[in-house]
Amino acid sequence: MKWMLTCEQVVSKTSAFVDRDMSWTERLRMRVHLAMCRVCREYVRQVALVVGALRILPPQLPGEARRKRLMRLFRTA
Amino acid sequence: MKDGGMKARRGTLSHDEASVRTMSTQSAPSDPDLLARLRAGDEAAFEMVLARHHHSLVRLATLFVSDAGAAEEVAQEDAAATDGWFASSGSWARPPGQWAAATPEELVLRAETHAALESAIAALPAVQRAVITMRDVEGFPAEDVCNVLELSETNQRVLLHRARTRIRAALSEHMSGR
Repeated sequence: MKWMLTCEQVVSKTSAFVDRDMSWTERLRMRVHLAMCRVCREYVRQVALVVGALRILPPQLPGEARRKRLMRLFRTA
Repeated sequence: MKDGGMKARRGTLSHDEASVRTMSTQSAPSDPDLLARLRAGDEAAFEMVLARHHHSLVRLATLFVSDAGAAEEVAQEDAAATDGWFASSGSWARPPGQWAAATPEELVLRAETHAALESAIAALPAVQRAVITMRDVEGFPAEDVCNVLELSETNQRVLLHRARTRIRAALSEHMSGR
């Protein structure tokens, strides 16, 4: 059935799904697949976890190691 | 305003740089003051410069990124990230293992996963790293990322997807103890 997404298609749309960056019909197709497929459900959950984790990473401003290195360079300059 | 004067004097700054500067220079010593203190070897001044301008420096460093470079990255490793994951039917050949973590906080708070996350970002191809850092870590909207990195919307989306796919895979490998 062409309307049904394969697991491979679900994976290729995961990022857009997590961002809610897709039409509601696409979203519905994803939901139908996910309702039936435990593996894809876990996969999408993991990608969502990664995105969530990236969002709460401490800001990429200097970063402790880099800041220390730069400070050391400054002192010896 | 003070910043306005500074901008006017530095006529060679691009509009973007000028606005980044304006945003990050809300109070405290002016740039010329800082410069004088830097010349005198003032460490605190150096720290302020880092905090104030690191962002625009990072942005400057990504200026060489062009959509041509991005298109190359998109074309080069097409599907490489998911190689061997699926049977020809499109269903899983190598299904992902289960993760114990239930929340993003659990991933970040555990030191090794945090480190694995950081090194997965560091290992990404340049444009993917720039895109995921700006989108997911710094939280810029897609439109801004397209503008700053001069990417088409499609390429931005593809690169973000690839970057997330790779990072998830790297974390998965890490968790299965490899």
